[in-house]
Amino acid sequence: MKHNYKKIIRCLNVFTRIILAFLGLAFIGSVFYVVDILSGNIKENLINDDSMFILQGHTVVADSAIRNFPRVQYALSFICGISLMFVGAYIALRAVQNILQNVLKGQVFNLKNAQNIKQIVWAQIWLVCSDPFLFWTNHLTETHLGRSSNTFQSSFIGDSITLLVIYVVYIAFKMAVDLKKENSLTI
Amino acid sequence: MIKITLNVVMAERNISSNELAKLVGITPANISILKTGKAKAVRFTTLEKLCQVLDCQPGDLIKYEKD
Repeated sequence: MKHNYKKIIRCLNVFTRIILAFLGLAFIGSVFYVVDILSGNIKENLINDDSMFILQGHTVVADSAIRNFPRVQYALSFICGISLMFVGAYIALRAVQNILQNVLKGQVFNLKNAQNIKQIVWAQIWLVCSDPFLFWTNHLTETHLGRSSNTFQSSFIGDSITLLVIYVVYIAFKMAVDLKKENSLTI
Repeated sequence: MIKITLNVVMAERNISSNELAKLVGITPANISILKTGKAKAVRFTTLEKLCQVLDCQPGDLIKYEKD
């Protein structure tokens, strides 16, 4: 393997570890966020949050809207969506790490890597499953508080396309593994 | 199906796998793959060398059998 590739792969490996660490921290942060929402701190977390868009005509939110906001429904939907998303991201990152380590050992087109790509396909399915829950949380804030989060908007189609692309890559990779196996059995 | 009869010719010529591998220029592991019928394909160059070393025809090494 070229020395440059090794450097790039090592860098990617370190980068994956950093993302994994951030993922853990983000999950802990999400749990605290949900607890905060459940305890009634909606103003700070949803209404005055900088990352939320204000829908036209909803600059001021009535106290009754804040009081009647379905906190439990929001929290449950959020925690379900975020958990599915984090599980998917964790599985995908672990699989990427395994692939990078195998590539570093010079094992590229083998069954282990094909299984790792299959894991990434499953991880993407987890992500697609998280989308309806996150979409629902966004729908609740939109209808009750007039606030929208661009993070949770219509990611279902994008995630589904990504799933399709990864699945095609998985099939192509498996075919490459079979070709390599056949080639190594040509004497 | 195609059947490799290399082991029969090797026994007739009284030649070991290691010896044949050295003379043909392939690894003993590949000779084993050929003998056990695990090989998916045989290169013409390998076949030529095998015929040269074992002093035989390709038909002596490869047979076709109906399934």
